[in-house]
Amino acid sequence: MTVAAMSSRTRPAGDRSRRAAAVTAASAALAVAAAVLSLAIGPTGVDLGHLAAYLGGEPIAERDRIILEAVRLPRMALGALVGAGLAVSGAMMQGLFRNPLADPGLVGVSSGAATAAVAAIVLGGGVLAPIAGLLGSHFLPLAAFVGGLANTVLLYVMATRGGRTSTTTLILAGIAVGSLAGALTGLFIFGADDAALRDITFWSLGSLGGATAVKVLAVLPFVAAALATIPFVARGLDGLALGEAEAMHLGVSVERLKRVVILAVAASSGATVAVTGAIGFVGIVVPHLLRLAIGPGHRFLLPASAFGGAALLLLADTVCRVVVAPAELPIGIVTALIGAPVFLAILLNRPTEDAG
Amino acid sequence: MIEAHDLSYRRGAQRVIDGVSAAVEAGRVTVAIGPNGAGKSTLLKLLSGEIRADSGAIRFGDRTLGTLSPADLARRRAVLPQKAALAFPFTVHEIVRLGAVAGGSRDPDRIAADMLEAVGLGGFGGRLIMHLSGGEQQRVQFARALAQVPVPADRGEPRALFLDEPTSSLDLKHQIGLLTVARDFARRGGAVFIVLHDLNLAAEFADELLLLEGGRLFASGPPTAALFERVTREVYGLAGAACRLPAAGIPFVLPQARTTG
Repeated sequence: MTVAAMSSRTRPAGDRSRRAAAVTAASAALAVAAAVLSLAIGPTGVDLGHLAAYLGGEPIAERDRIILEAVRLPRMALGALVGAGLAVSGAMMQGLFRNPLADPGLVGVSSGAATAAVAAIVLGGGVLAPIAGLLGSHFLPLAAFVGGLANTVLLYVMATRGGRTSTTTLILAGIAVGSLAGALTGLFIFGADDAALRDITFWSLGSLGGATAVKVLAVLPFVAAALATIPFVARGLDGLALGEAEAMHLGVSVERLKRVVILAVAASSGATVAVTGAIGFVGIVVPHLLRLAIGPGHRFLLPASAFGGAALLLLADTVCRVVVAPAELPIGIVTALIGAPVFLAILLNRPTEDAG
Repeated sequence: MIEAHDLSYRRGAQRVIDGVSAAVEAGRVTVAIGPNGAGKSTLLKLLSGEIRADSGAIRFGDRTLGTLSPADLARRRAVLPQKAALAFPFTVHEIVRLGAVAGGSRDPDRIAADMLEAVGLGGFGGRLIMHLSGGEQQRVQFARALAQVPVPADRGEPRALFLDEPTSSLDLKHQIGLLTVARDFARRGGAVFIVLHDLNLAAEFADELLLLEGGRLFASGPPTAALFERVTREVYGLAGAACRLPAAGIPFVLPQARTTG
C-alpha cells in the first residue's frame, strides 16, 4: 500500500520528464526576456517604462511609437520566428538522420535557397528584371524559398527507392547536390556586376535587418506549420533513434514520419533562409545544448528548441545592433562564432562509430 | 497464432525464403535454426511484419498480416533485433518506456521498472544506455520488447515475442536467464519465435524447431535426438554425436570436425 503510493508519486530513476518540462518553461521565459530586451535596446534606447506603457496599450511619445512599430516589433517577431524555425528544423533533421550533426544545410535546403537567391540577385537586374520589378521586395525571398524546397524534394525523390528513404543515400545525394548548387552559385557570381556582388555578400552573411511586417507575415505560416507537426512527430522520432526497423516495430509509420519531417524542415528553414539569408549553426547549437540538459526525448526537445532558438537569435541580433552602432554586424557572423566551436566539440567528442 | 503459408522472398535474384510454410503457436516456443544464410532472420522479419513477402500469406491471429498497420502490430507483437544502434543518449528507463508506450500501456513508468527487474537490471534505470556493456544493452532491449507486450495473453488474445539471436552477446548465465523469461512468456499464453545458433540451447528451450537451409524448410518438429543427429549430419555436414542428457532427458549435440566415421 505505502510502496504503491510512494511509487506513484516518485519519478523512477532515469525519468527526465520533470526536468525537461522545467527547462522547456525556462526556455520560454528566456525567449520572452530576449524579446523584451530586443524591443528596448538599440541605437536609440526605448525606456522600459515607455515600453511597458506601449505594450499595455497606453499612449506614448510619437518617436518611441514609430521606433517600436516600424522597426523593433517586426524585427523582434522575425528574429523569434527565424530562430524557432531554424532550431526546430535542426532538431527534426538530427532526429530524422539519427545524427546530432545533421542540419537543414546538409540536405540541400540552404544550398538550394542560396543558389536561387544569388541567381535572383544577378538575373534580377537582367533577363528577369520584369519579374523582379513585379514582385518587388518579395522577389528574392520567394526565389530562395522555391530553390530550397525544390532541392529538398529533388533529393527526397532521388534517395527514395520503393517507398523507403535510405539515410546514407540522402546524405550523399545532399553533398552532391550541394556541390552542384555551389558550382551554380559560383557561376552566377562570376557573371555578376559590382552592385550584385555587394548584395550577394550581404545576403550570404545573413541579417535580420530590413525586417518588415510583410516579411514577418511571409515567414509566419511556414514556421507555424512546422511547429504544428511537433506533437505528431515527437514519438516517432524517439522510435527512430533506435533504428528504422525498431521504430517500425514500435508502431511508427516510418515513411509517413519521414515525409512529414522533410516537408516541415523544408518549409521552415527554406522560408527563413529566404527572408534573412544564411544564418548558420542555430539548428545545431540549440538542440545540442538542450539535449545535454534534458536528454534526447523529442516530446520536450522540439518545443524547447523552438523557444531556445528564438531566444538565441534575439540575443545575438541585439548584440549585432549595439556593438558597432550605428552600423550593424551581420548576425550570421555572431551565430557562426558561437556555433562553429560547438559543432567542433560535438564532432571531437563523438564516440567512434561502428561499421554500419 | 501466426500461420505462414508458402512464403517466398527474393533479394535480387536470390531466393532468401523459398516456399516456407510454418506456424508460431501461442503457448509455445518456436525456434528457428540453420546455417548462416539459411533465411532465419529473414523469416523472422517476414513473420513480424517488418518486410513483406513476395508471395504467400501470413495470418496473424484473426487478421491477415498485411491489413495490420504498424500501430496495430505494435500492440500485438514485440521484436528484439540482432543489434540495435542508438543514435542519442537515452537513459535505460527512457528506452524501456518507449516499448511500454508503444504497447499502449496506461502506466508505462511502472511497466518499464517491472521489466527491468525481470531482466535483472533493476537498479539500472538512471544509467545512460551507451555506458553499459554490450550484454547489458542487449538485456535493456529485451526489457523494452517485454514492456511492449507486458501481458502475454489478454482475454484469449495472445501477443507474440520475436527474438533474433538474443543470446549472441550474453554470458552463459544470462543466455539461460533471457530464454527462461521468454519461455515463461509462452507458458503464460504468449507466442514466442526465436532465431538461435546454439543447438543445445535450442534443444533445451524449443517446443517446436524449424530447420532452415538455403531458404527452405528442411525439417520441423519437436527437438528429438534423432532430429538433431540428422540435422548435424545433413545440414551442417558434421559428424553428429547427439545423445540425451541422463538427468533431464534433453538432447545434447557435440559436433565433430570431420564427417569420417
